[in-house]
Formats: sequence, C-alpha cells, structure tokens
Amino acid sequence: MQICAIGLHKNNTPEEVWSLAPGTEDCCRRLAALTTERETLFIVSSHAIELFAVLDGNIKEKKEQLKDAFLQTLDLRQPRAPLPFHDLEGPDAVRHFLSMALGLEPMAYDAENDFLEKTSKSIKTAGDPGGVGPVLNRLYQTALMLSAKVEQSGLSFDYSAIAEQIESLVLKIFGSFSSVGLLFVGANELSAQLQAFFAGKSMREQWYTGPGIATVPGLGIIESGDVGEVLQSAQVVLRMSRDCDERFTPAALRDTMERRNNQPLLLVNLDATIVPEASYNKIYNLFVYDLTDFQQDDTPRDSGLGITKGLIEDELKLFFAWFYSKEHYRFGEIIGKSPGIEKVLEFIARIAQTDITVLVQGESGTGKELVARAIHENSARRTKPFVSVNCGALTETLLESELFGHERGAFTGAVNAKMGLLEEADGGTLMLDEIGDTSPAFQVKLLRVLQEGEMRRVGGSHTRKIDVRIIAATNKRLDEQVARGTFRQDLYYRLNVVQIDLPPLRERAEDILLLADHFIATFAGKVKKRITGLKNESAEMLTGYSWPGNVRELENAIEHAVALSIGHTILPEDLPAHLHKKTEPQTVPVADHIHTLKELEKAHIIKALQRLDWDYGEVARILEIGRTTLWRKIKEYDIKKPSELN
Amino acid sequence: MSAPAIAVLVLYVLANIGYIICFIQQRPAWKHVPSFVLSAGVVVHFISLIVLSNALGRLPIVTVFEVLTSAACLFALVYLTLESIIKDKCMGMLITPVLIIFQSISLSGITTIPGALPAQLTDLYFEIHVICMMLAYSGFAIAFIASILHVLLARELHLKRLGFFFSRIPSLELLNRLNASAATLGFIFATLGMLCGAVMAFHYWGTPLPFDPKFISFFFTWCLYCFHLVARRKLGWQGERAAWLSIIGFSCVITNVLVISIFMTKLHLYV
Repeated sequence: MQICAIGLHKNNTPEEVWSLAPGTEDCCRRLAALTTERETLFIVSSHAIELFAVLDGNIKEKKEQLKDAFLQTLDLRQPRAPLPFHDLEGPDAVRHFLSMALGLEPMAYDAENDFLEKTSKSIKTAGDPGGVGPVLNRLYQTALMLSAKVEQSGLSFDYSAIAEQIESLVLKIFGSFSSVGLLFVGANELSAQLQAFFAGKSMREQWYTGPGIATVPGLGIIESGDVGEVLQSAQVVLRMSRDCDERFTPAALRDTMERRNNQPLLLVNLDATIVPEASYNKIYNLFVYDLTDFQQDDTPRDSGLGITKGLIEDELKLFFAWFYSKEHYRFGEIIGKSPGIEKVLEFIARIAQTDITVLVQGESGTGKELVARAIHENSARRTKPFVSVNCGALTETLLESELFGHERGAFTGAVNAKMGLLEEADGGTLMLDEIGDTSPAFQVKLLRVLQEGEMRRVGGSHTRKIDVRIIAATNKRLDEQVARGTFRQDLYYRLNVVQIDLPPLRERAEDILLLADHFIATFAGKVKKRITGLKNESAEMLTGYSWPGNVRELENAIEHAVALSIGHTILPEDLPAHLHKKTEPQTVPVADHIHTLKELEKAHIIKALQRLDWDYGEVARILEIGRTTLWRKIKEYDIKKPSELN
Repeated sequence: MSAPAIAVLVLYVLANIGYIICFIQQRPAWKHVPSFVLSAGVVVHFISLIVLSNALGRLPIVTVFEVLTSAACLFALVYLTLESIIKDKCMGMLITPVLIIFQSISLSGITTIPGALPAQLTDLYFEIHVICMMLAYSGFAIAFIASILHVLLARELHLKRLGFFFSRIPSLELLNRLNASAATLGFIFATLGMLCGAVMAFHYWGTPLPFDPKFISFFFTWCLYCFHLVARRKLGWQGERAAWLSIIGFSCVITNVLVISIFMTKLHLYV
C-alpha cells in the first residue's frame, strides 16, 4: 500500500489548462465515477491541481490509470503538449501534501493559500463511500494540525527573501543575468519557487539535474553524469539537495575551478543538511553561501521556515509510523471510521493547537475523556500535565478542596496545606468530567477561574495566577439544564466556546466491529488467549444491538466474551445475556396496538432513564415526580439497568 | 599661483566632498551634483591650460608642475568619459583626491621658465611621449581604483557580511572588466610612449635605451602590467589577483612619478 500524488502546478502549466479546469466538486464526482481505488482525493486549488490516492498492488500500473483518470477528470484527453505532471510516492507525496497545505509549495507571490479549504471541500464532496478513507483523512487532519500549529506559533516563511538575496548576490558578482548560467542540483521545497523566480530573469542558460519536480519552461534537464561538464560553463550553482555530492567536495571544486580557468563561481547550498566547509573559502574565485547565511539577515522570518520544515519531517515520521502500523482507524486512542467520528477528529485537529475552552458532550461511555486526552496530546501543552477530575463523583466541599487545594487549618482535618488539581495542571489541561452535576456555588467559583485566570485555595487569602486549559465534559444536555436553571448560563457560555458532540455508538454502526476487534485483541492479550475474532453471528448480534452504554458497554461485553470463550472465535453464547434479548421493543410504541397507560408510563420512564444515563434524580426532576415515586414505579414495572442484568 | 588654478582646486575639492557624501548616503536626488561640479572644474581647468599654453607658446608639459596640472585635467576628462559610459559614480570618490593632490602640488610651483628650452623638450616626439604617458597613467589609475573597490567588495562577499560596500559598490564583474580594459589601454599607451621616448633618446643621445633610474623603474612597471595581461589570460588570474596586480602596478607608477622623477633622475630632469 502506498500514497501517491499526481498533479500539476500553476507556475509550470499552460494557462489554458487552468482556465478549463472544472471546480473541485465536479472533479470529485467525475473521478469517483472513473476509479475504483480505495482512497482518492482530488483537489483543485488556486495554485495546484492534485490527485492523492492510496494504492495497492501494482502501483506503477495503477498510477498510469490514475493519470488517465486525472486527464479525463480535467477533460484533457489530448493535451497539446505533454503536461508537466509531478508524480510522487510515499514520503515525498505526504511531504508534498503538507507543504502545500502550509503554503510552502508551489510558490505564488500574490494569491492566498486555499489548499486546505479546497481539501476540506473535496473531502465533503467525496463523501463516505469510495471516497476519502482513513489515510487521506488522517493526512488532512495532520495538515490541519500543522497549519494551526504554524499559525499559533507565529511562524512565517517567505522564500522570496532567499530568492531576492540570491539575486542580489548574483548581480553583485556577475553584474547582470544575461551572461549567467544557472544550475539547479536536486530539488527541495524551495525549488518550485526559486525555479519560478529565476525563470523570469532571462538568463543565458538554466539547467536542472535531479529527480522530482523540474518543470519550468526554459530549464534544461541534464543527467547527473553531465554535471561536471555543465559546471565548467555555469556561473551559479544552487544545491537544493545532496545530489551529486561528490562534485562538491573541496578537492573536486578546486579541480573544477582550475578547469574553468578560475572564472568566478557562486555556489549556494540550500539544503539544510549540507554542512558549510571552511576550506571552500580558500578556493580562488569561488563564492560559497549556505542556507544559514541567508537567515542571518532576517532571523525570525527565515528560521520559521526551518522550524516548519522540522515540523513537517516530524509529522512525516509519525504519519508513516501510523500508516504502516495497520491501525488506520485510530487517532491516538480514538478508534473509528464513521463520518461522525471523522468529524470529531477533524474538530480536534482544528482546535487542539488553540487554548480555547472545549465542551465535550456525549452519552456516557462514548469516550469523552479520550477526546480530551487527544486534544491535550495534540496541543502545545502536551509536555505539561493532563489532569482529569470527575465532578459528579465528589461532594461539593470535597470537590472544591480537590480542585482549589486548601491552606493548613482551612477546615477540620486540613492538617497540611494541599495543592489543588488546578495548580497541579498549571500549564497543562484540566478535564472537568460531569460538569453538569456541580452545584451553583461551585459553578460561580469555576467561572471566576475561567474569567480571571486566577484561583484561591480554600481558606487561603492569596490569589494565584494559573494557566490551565479547561475541557469540560458532560453526558447531559447543558442547554436544557440552563433553561431549567440548574446550570449557570454565564458558565455555560464560558465553557461552550467550542462544543464537540460525541456520537453514541448506535449512530456509528460501522465502528462497532472495528472497536470489537480492538477490544478482543486487548483482552485476549491480557488473558493470554488466542482469539482471532468474532463469529459471524456474534458480529451480527453486536451490530444489531443498540448499545445504550456505548463504547464502555461494548468494552465490557467483549471482556466478558473473551473471558468466557473457549475457541479461537467469539461465539454468540459468549456474549452477555442481555445482548440476546431484542432490545427496546417496549420503548417504541407500535402504532396498531393501543397501549395501556401503565405500559406507556413504563416505556416513558425507561426512555427517560436511558437518555439520562440512569440518573434517578435527574429523571425524577424531568418527569416532575418525586424521587421516591420514581423509585416505586421502577420497582413496580420491574425496570432494570442493563448493567444489572448480567 | 593663478586665480583659475585655485578655482579649479576648489571645484575638485567640492566634487570630492560631493562624491563621498553621495557614496555614503546614497541620496538619488543628489547623485548628479558632484559630476556637475567636477565637469565645471574640468572646463575651467581646460580653459586655463589653453590660456597657459598660449602664454608659453607650447604645451604645458615641460616642468613637473606643468605635467601634474595637465595630467590632472586629462585624468578628470578620462574619468568623466568613463562615468558616462558605466553609469556608476562610486569611483569618483577615489579619483578626485588624485586630482586634488596633483593640482595642489602643481599650484605650489608654476612659474615661467627663463631662457630658451633645450631642443628635445620642444620636439614633437617629446610631446607625444608625454601625452601617451599621461594617458597610460590615467588608465593605470582607473584600473587601480577599480581594483581597490574590487578587493573591498570581494572581501565582504567572502566574509558573507553583506553590508556597507555591498550596497554601494558596483558588481565584481564590472570592476574586473574595468580593471582589465583600463590596464590594457594604459599598457598600450605606455608602450607607445616608451617607443616615442626611445626614438627621441636615439635621436638626442644616440641610444634607444639610456641608463636612467626613471626609465629602469618604468620598464619594471611596464613588465608588471605586461604580466598582468598575460596572467589574466593564461593563468586565470581573473578578479582579485588581477586587482592586486593593478594595485601593485599603480604603487610603482606613483613611486616612479613622485619619488624617482623628482629626486633621482638625470635625463628626465624637468627644468
């Protein structure tokens, strides 16, 4: 399996191709009709038309087919001249995608970078079936994250500064471009811009040697074997990569200079991996410049470039570690390929880098803490602590002293001063689970922390500044609670800057088996059983169930099954008993049957209990009956919580 | 000491100051001012020389003081021509001091010579000899100045500290070309001048190669420039090495003119 990128860049493609190209949506639709590849993504941005695909099997052949499909999609069956396609594979393709997303490539001086925006559009158009799969989705999310990171850290990069500095050097040494021969050796992310920049300079001659994208008009392509010959007539050599390294050792250069009768030569090393050699300076009439020499002038701008390239390389490594791990439906701890989960992942990628407060809403067991953790792990705070506290599990006073800490003697039993979780999480992320269960008094205190960024220990007189990112989670609908007055509106707005709604498992049916496989592998490993998977009937049973307890319930069910199973596959009888019952017939009133009031009451109570995750207090409040009444009715109708069934 | 000669000196000094200010501050609005001042100086200088020739009844190229002032005028003329060709003014800053020095020395001693001149000093060959030599020195001086700028710029380029000179000095290629052509022209005129001198020497002293410190020292300088031209072609001594050769060559010329001419020579003794 390999990732490929086929595409055209505006700066080297005839203008008419560009003006004829249909929009992103049309292209996606046409392409979908043309290919059967597992994952394809067609992007028409203002600078590039790109087709990314994940290919299996005979990659060479498939790439040819893709190129055909590419041309057909663009209505370019018979182009007048061969188009300057670039055709990248593996890390090169991914690097290309990320560089395009960050606006590093292809370079244009005037227009804005709309690549990510167009990518997002394509992904939406491609839809679920046959369109963008986990790999390209992940690629997109990585790009989103990187772009947010670059934006957040204020990194900016402008290659035109380097191009202009090289230009001024060339002019200072050689007077004008008309007598200058320029040789590009190899390619890197600077290539596209520099080639475009110097293409407009009417030089005597320009050559290019190396792989990759070299498609500027007037650029003579030469074999690496001819480099020695060209070096004798070139005036400027731009080394974009370590290609032809042996030509540029001090001894080889001395020899070259002798053969060119000491005509001045400007050698510019634009590959950060080329180490400057002091002995170059002793060679007569040879002027050597390195990437670092251009960064001296304008450190913050150009070092941004270096950092960004470093970030891309880091992401590349992570991406391919994941790509080859066969865990394509994983994002950190989150597993899934359903559109709902993809949306959540995209959301995480978009907001992780910021410091904004996030409210995660979702039924119990949907993985709210995993989301919070994923946000933390992908933020700049990842080296700092991630602290999670369940507000529903503690009484008000205990929660307060846990969260804010207390001074010595603040209350009976406070023998020593204690640091609160807020302080512990300073610089990091604090997750407040079950935020809907907190008391109004506590909510006021929390609001103060959020608004002022400062807190006071219980019994303390001294306010402390803290820098904590808050991620709140709840399984209740906070807006309803606000309407009912049990949750402070101002706190709700503070928390709900960004809201992530985690879909319940029954809405992500395609993830059930994926998750089941994951849990089987985990638990089988734990109990040292060799279990390869689910028997078909078991799989059907799992997908047919409504999973009111969501992923946690599934996890428990699988643990149960793994513990009971004796064979290599999990049989239906290994699964917990309540899965065998057809669930929820009673909650869905059948139209042709007239129910008794008791039946309806029972169904209604069950529905309320399920929706509110068996929170009796809350259910009683919503149904406007007393807790004891509710209790009595539950007994009377013999309503049982699913976890009590097994 | 005449009033026009002093006026010329003042104009040269003003031009020099103007060139320096323009070089440092790079004000485009002012950039033509020094050239105008220098041109005015040259015009006044030229007219005063014609007046002087008329008064003397010969070209003012006999005494060391006459030679210096004539050379200054010729040199300024050559420079202004060059400036209009290369469209770059940064050499003016270094040329004008030479004019100032020549003109100042000449001011201190222009007097009319009593009595008749020796025959050889009114000979046509003598006049060609002197004018060729003055042109040769102008060429060498321009090569020298281009070379100094070349060395300064190349130094910044090699040290990768692109600053003061980088933004002010024209390209290495231009400086190298200037050095080459100025040195070549200088060499041609020097050769012509030497031939005329030899003809004259043969005529008056019976030998084309008289033993004279000035002749020997100049012959050495001539060999140096000869080597310069050969090294450029055959050894690939382009750029900096050629620049150093021009700097050394012009140092020899200066020694020749100022030290040997004034203190040591017998045959080339000016009246």
